[in-house]
Amino acid sequence: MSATAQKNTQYRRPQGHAALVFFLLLGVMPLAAGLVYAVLYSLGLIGYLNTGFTLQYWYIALTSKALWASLTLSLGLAVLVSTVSFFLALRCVIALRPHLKQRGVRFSLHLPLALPPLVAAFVSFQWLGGTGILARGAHALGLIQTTDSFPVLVNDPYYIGVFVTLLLLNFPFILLLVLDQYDRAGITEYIHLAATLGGNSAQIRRKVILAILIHRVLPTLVLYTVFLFGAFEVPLLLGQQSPAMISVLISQKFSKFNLADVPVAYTCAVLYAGVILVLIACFWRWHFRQSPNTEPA
Amino acid sequence: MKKALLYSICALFALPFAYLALLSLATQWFYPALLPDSLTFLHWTGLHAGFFSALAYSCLFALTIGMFSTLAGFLSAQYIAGHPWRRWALVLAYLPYAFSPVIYAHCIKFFFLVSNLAGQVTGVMLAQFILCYPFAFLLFFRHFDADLRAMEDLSATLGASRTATFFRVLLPVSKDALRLCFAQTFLISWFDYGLSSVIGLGQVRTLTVLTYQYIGEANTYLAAVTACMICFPPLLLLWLNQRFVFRSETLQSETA
Repeated sequence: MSATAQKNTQYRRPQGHAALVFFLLLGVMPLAAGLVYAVLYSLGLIGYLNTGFTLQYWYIALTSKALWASLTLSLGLAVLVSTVSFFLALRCVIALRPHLKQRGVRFSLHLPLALPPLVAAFVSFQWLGGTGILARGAHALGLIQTTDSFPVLVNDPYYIGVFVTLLLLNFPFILLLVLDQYDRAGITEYIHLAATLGGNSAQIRRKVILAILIHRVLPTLVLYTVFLFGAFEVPLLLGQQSPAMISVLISQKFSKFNLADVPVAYTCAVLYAGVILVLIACFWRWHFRQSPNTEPA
Repeated sequence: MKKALLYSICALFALPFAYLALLSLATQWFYPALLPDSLTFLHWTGLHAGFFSALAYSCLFALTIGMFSTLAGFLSAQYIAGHPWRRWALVLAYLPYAFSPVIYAHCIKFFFLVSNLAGQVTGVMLAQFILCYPFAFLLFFRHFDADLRAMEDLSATLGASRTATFFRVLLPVSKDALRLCFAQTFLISWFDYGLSSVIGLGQVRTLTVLTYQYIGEANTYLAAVTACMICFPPLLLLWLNQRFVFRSETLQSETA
């Protein structure tokens, strides 16, 4: 290697360290500092009402039914939305794949990208509410006489409004992902091979298409589930006050005028961070077991 | 039957935009009317100064954050992708990306308060940057794979200077990735509500914060106007992207 080439390739080392320091400072440090602050606050070591080390806020948080209900609700809804999105997308790809590649259809599938969660929640509120477009349609068809007869779909105890909105926001992304992976994996060839070997359509669907796609899509699906777990704007507008999804619950506790709630809010934030860390760690562990030499997208 | 299902799905995705446009133009649209009584531009022409300042803030944040995050993410990923600790950096980059922005904002709010950045334009900008930067890093990390690094080495072996390699090899090759990253970080900033509302303390009102305020006040027509404004730039980006990507794909397939 010539001297110029050596000089040009060696410059990476010090700049690599500098880039790493910059990344740690601006990309990781703020979150780490925030979490350390939250842990210290939750242990009563800092904050307006601190009286020295105490575990009382942890006790309050861990024995709070609202927190566990909130965590269960958030995780359950996130898993449900991801799962339903995936199976709906799979069904659509199997049935409509050639049509999904048309220019106009592809454009339509990308449209929800332009819809922020806050606006999506607003539209859902206007459509699913007691005086919303669906209720008006039902009234025009003579199905209901008063707004009370229309089922409660917004701020309802079963989170139907939140589920529908999150599903409509996420389904197109999952559909595009499944469609892309279907083509990349060359599933059409596998289908021909399985059919030649005597597999029927149900077997091909379950043991070829589903088996290949679930393996390829799972990492992204897990990440989507993590995002949905922390969804804020949609449950804020369409969900209930209690049980609330975890981001809404923590935000409520921070925003209350009762200062005694603030350490509990920090405790909940630490617990939320713990769940996220566990999910991300599982995701990485699983990924490196499957393909040790590659990084996920 | 299949086509009917397909067009129903497409219509379902297009419907919110049509509805928002109609609502923003409606004079009165009360239950049980299926359509508004009449249409007017009054909600659009009667916008007050608060709306324009929110629009200006949103544009300023989205453009600045899009630019700086893309630049910082590109440069960081370029050097860290070849670093021995690259895998750890990647693992760590996922954490802020996976965290709920509103909880993140509450956790770091204290530092913004003590440094007098809370409720300031620079504070909201910094908060959005520290959210978007790891995302940009993740996007470029995959881009700087072994092939691109080998290309960089080849350029150096052939005697190109660092500057020449950067401007004549890396940038042209990364044009699409840079465009994608700018669009994504622009959208994250443009759509952000959680960070802006918590760090901005209600004093820095972006379009999303203003929309939430209108929804809270049950001012549906103005909420629809601001919602339309929020949706317009992403729709434009999407249209441009579809137009050019589709054209380049068509050209490629025709050449092949």
